[in-house]
Amino acid sequence: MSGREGVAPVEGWQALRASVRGAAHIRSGAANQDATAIWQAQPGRLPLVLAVADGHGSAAYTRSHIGAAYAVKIALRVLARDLLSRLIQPGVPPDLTQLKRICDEWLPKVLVRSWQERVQHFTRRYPFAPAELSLLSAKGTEEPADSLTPYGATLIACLLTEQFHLYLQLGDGDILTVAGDGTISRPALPADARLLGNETTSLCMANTAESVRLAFQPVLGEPPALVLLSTDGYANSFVDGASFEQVGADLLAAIRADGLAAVGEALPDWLAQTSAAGSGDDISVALALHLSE
Amino acid sequence: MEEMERKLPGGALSSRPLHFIWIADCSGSMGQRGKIQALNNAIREAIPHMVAVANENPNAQVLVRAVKFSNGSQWHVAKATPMEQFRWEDLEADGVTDMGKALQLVAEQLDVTAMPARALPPVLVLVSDGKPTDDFSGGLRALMEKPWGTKAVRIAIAIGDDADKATLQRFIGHPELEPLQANNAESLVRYIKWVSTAVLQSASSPASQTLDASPTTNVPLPPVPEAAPDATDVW
Repeated sequence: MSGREGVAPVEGWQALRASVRGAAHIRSGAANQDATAIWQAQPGRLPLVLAVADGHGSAAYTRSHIGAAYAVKIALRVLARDLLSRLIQPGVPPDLTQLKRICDEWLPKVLVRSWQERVQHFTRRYPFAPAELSLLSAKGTEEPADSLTPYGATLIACLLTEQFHLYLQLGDGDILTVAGDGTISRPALPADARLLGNETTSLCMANTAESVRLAFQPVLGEPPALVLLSTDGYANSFVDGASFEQVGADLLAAIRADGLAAVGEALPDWLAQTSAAGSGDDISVALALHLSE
Repeated sequence: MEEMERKLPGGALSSRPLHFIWIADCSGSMGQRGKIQALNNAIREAIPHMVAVANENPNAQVLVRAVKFSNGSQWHVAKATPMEQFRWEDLEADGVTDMGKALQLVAEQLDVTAMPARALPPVLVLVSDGKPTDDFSGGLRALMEKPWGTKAVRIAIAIGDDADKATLQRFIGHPELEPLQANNAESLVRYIKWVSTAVLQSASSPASQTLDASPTTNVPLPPVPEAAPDATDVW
């Protein structure tokens, strides 16, 4: 299954998301285990939240598509409601130093705890089937009936405001920002050398709040024209990092030339072709676009 | 809506590289009772099966190399060769068992500068009939200091009863997966075929998992085949 949703075409900030089942998943019969979400308070304006999540594909992660769906939903709730509503007072300029400290100390714990509570609630409503318990018992590292493992997923999200941009990442995947002249950058997230091959940090791991990486960027000049979040199936489809980063500039050029709606129509097919010729993995993106005149 | 005539966003696309490396013992004892020829035959016979697996997994680019060790160690196939181009030249047996040097040689190729982060976990298959005569621990340490060394799928095949299974077990690094014991040519063929097909298949399409997920290997492995029964040619 593939999906696409565009926010109504308006001036200022707009957003788009798309998610496609990977070519290898189609061959094996596996579902698309990614999820995406967008929140925007008012059309064309900030604040805006993007989120993508990638549910793990190995056998024990029987509910990872559910874990990914909850991950993006909770990211939106925590960033759009909890962080904005509770920490930023209308009409009062935010104290960015204090806000950054709160994000560093508070945000990872709240995100992870909220996700864990939500999937545990789901388990209470829909207990694991014997086959799922058998897989968990074989893993042998936790109490199977209370396990978080079946829901394992990564999470990438960003909160864009007029004053600051906040990027967060747990596990693999990519964040690109594209300046108006097409220059590509990546937010200054701490590197995580453990993310190699098919192994990743995850919402389902113990003490995982410590693995959430954050980049807090005050907006000092012109904001990026494009912010792109993507699951790892996208970057893994290219011969090298530069070839993947070219995606950011190409999407910006395509949107400028043909409009967001047209790119939104074409994007699922582009992603499917990319997966087929590349990683074979599910590919999901969420992007925010800022066209200044 | 009118279809957009536009190239796919981004630069050149590519399937993910999967490096498969044979690490073969060519010490003098491998020349006894047809062991080296059995190994040559088994690997050569496995090639069409490997090609078939590679063709079934177009999103993995299988690249094969081979290291041999006896007096020192050298690349037998130095270039990471696409599966469909891979050919096997016979190994010859002579000398001692410098297994540590072979692991050093492999370790040099497991640096992220030589094997990018987007690659699939490599598969290393160590085949030996004896005990190391050099600094095996140093070689293993060099291998495991590389991120791809720890992430690699490490399989070992012990040929005959004189193989040092404890050393091969250290190479594997997981108590749950033991060296495969081949005491005859038929068993060797069976194990070589298993790593060439079933293991290659698993490594070609590994699903994502958490860092702490698999206590045994970095890629879920299929069941290990039984040794061939009733064989007459016993090593």
